[in-house]
Amino acid sequence: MDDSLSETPAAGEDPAAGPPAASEDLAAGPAPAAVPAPVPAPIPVPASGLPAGPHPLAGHGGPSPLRIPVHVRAGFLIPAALILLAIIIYPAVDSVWLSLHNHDGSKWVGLSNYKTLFTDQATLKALKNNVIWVVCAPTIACALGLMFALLSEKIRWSTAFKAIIFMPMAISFLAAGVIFELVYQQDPHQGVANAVAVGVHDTFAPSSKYPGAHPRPDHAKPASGGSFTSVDTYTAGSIANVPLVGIQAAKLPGKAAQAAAPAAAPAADQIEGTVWLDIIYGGGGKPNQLDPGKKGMPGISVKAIDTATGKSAGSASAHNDGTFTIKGLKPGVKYALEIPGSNFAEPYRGIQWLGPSLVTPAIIASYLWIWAGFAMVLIAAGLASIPRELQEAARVDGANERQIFWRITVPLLAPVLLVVLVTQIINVLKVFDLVYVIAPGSTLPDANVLAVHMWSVSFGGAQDQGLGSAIGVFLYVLVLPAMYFNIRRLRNEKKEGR
Amino acid sequence: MADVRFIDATRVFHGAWRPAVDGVSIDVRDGELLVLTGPSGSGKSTLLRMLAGLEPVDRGTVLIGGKDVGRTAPDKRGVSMIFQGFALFPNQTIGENIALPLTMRKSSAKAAAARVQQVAELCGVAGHLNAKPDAVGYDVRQRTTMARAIVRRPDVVCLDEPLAGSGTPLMMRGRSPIAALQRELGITTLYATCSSVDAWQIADRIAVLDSGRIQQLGTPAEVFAAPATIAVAQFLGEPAMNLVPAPVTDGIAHIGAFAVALTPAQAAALTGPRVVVGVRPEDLSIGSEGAEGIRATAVLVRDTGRDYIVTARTVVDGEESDLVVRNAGGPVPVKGESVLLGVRPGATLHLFDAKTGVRLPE
Amino acid sequence: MSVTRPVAVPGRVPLGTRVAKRLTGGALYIIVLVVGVIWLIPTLGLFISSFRKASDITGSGWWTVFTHPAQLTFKDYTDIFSNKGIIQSLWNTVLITVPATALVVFLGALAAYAFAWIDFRGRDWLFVVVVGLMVVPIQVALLPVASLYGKLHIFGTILGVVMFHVGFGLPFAIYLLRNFFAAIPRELLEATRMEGGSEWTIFRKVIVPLGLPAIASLAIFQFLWVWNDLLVALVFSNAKTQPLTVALQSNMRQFGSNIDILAPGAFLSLSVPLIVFFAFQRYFVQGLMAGSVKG
Repeated sequence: MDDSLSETPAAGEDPAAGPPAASEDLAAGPAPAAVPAPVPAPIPVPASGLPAGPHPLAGHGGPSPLRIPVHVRAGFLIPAALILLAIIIYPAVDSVWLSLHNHDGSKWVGLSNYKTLFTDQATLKALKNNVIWVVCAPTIACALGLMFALLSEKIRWSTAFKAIIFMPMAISFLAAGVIFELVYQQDPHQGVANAVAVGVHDTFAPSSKYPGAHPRPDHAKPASGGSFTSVDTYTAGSIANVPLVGIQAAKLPGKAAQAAAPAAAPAADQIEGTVWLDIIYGGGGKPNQLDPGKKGMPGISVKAIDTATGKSAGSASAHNDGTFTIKGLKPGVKYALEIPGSNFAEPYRGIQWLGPSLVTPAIIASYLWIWAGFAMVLIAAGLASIPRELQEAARVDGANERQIFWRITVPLLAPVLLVVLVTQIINVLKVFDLVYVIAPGSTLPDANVLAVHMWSVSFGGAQDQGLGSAIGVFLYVLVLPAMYFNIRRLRNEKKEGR
Repeated sequence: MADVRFIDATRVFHGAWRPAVDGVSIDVRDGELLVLTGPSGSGKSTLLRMLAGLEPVDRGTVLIGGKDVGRTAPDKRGVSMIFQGFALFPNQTIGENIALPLTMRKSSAKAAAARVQQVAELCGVAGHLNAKPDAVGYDVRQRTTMARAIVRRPDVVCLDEPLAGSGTPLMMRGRSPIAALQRELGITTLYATCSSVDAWQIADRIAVLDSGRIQQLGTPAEVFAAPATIAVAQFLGEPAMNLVPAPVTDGIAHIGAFAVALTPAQAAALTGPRVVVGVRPEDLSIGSEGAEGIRATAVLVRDTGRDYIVTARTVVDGEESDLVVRNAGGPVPVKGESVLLGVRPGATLHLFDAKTGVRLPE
Repeated sequence: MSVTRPVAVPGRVPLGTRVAKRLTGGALYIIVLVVGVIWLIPTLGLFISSFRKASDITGSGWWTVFTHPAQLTFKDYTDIFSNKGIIQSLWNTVLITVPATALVVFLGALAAYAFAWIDFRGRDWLFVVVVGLMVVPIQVALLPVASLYGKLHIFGTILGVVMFHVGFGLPFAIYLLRNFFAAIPRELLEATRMEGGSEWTIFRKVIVPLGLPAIASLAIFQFLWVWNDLLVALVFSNAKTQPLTVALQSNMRQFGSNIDILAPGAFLSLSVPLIVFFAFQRYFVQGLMAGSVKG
């Protein structure tokens, strides 16, 4: 830079410049108009057809009145150059130096910080997470962007749709962190993600109506999976009473009616009985008695288990008054009653989004929420620039939509996709705020990435400048291919255009 | 007002192997309209920019009114420039655009406004002073750029292909405002254009450039009558001159059955064994059967009613060659018809040295 | 002449195909709607939460306000507007963002003009360097700049934070603006130069007015980056000079108990960029297209 600016304005002056003698015949007074100008010499063309190198006058730069004084040129460039030098270039070099020293920079340690980088467990975990980030986030962002761009092409109010998808780009990672902290709250009554997860779960696997209910211990013994098996055994044609306790009467469903004994005697191949809550709201009544005020427990399922084989022989579900009838049993066989654990299962509590195993995917999801819009906008612009004729020509030639998409749209879109991908990779390698903000302290080590680790190592307590710098330098090395990509793209642009 | 002299003016671009403008010497008289023409890349724009001070002069001298301006800043030369595409500021009104040379010179607002009004009226844009350039038509933009060029009373106006790419290459014809104003104001004007038609229409003199060198300088009639090189001959005239190579033996050039005798001066000037014979399409005729001539086949016939142009294919020295005939008289041949081409009596045959491309003396 | 025959009217699509088409059209809209809702819900959740009492936020989901609108209150907002620490940090954010944006735009435009229109030796190479600097991760500069600031006694000051933002904003600024400036017709510059315009005049009178769209894009981007930044401020600011993001972040460690500060604070922090975004969406998208390589 200094070199270019130190040129003096007159440096290029050609001392030989001036009216050469050869032009005398032409310059002698006003040329008479009637006489045609002298015949010019033929145009010299290099014999080989190849230029023999720059002309001797080339680049000499005559004494131009336009030559911009050095101080003017410097005025435009120097301020930016100084800041770049102080804030990026010098620090980048200094970082390399620091990374070869110990924690406070007092001792040369060679490459040992880099060795730590690849052996220390915490750093390795961060590195591994970075790999997950780099593999997943850019590709999914690209895929989502492509999908949204295609969707928005086909709908009428695409502007509004695009604005909604794109909006998170304007939001800080910190605000996004707060937003997703809310989304990922563990309690399904607070976190929308778990509210949805529980809702979906309960649709396909309804939760039990009587969590915590159980028979009295003298009536039944607990079996595997939260089930209970009766102590008594029954034969077909008999009546079995199943009084339960352990939940509040107020928690019974509204349809639960006064518990009653079976209306008729059981048939020879049936076991009849009643399941009821053996507690009266407000107190009173005797245990194991169908007192007035005790309610049936509709929906509880009861199984008859052949005590000889241990296999289920039939099952039934209780009516509103608690009565049930198990049919199709063999006379003479002894059955035990089993009340399956599903009747009493605790409710589904949702997913531990920010727990050790899901924290990284959960944060990546929030990253995608922010950056899918970026991919969408670029890809949509790419789509718009594909000439319609190509697709129409293919359609005329009988290609179907899928062929058009894979054979025409995607290849033409490839450069844009590549740009989005590279941009995202650079972004993802440096991801800091989201992880730092969203991951709770307890699982931060599981969500750790290099940028966050660099911060915690350098500023967050450890104060290890050496290792911190090594991580910084390592990140820098990781983005070098992207740098090369950008520069190559710049070169190509220059070749094509200006 | 001032005359302009280029003496051996030369400009070499950074890294170039040959000059963009190569030893050009021209005298432009005060009040003259000189058209610089030639194919693109021939150096005509660069020459103008050297005069205006936008390019340095690497060798030679540029004088305006007898004064060497090599070190003079562009705004001190008394030269104004009309650029390709007019270079009007889209963010400023027509009035502000015209006033630019005055505001840049920090003229008083009052004087500037009066002068802008005066020039705008002269150029016929006084009614558009508050409009933006994008909001007015092509003609108003053209007049605006002219008004901006003359508002500071320049000695010389340079026009650098102002109409290139506009799709209306004939706008510079006699009735165009630019030409009319130039005549009225008598400002020395240099006009660079690719279009040879433009050159005919308005030029006092034409300078034809090729590869940075002057090929010929003269009035349109002179250049038309005696093109100095093959390049000039090809460039001027519509349709262009027919050029047929011919071997010379014993001072006689042979084109098929035709024989053209060279004068002793011509024979002496010839550097090689071949000449190129040029004949204008107007100077060819289509002869009746039995007459002497070149046998050819009409491959393209264009009849506009006012005149007709026939492209006839013939074989000269074993090579196919197309000759163009304009207004030969007589019945218009149909496509595919065999015709007999002759040269009209009294027509000029232009002889060029095939090796150097230079016209042979009469 | 022609007899009506029992065939489908030409050009009329069979019913089955039409139904299928309408269905996919319907499915399309449902997908779009679902995606849109998914993208809106997180922000909506924060927005609504910021209008609820802390006890309500921790006790029930924000969506309960649809059945219990009485929960809505401005109390959280009146609280944080009387919270001195938060107000100071909001002011700090402004004090950091405005100069950091203005300086990057001004210095970047100067340099971009030089790269686009002033010939100097090694210009192309220097520009390649600038493009290379665009992707340098800030992590590589944090420690050395921290110690540099320590020596200059500007560690913990707003000036320090601003300068760091300017440094890392400049490469992108130069890249974006140079490309735009270079597309300004040469004739306009020369028309000015012909009338004696200096480089500075050309910059002011030609480049800046005509480059305004790009300058606007850049200003918006830089504004958003600086306003939204956490890491730089986390390192270079102190308790007195910290911007809103850092102040909120320090409240995040106890999420449940500070949610009444966090929710309105976060919404405050994102509302300004959101307004900027919706007001200047066109320039935002333009800038994105022009310089989609900044990391």
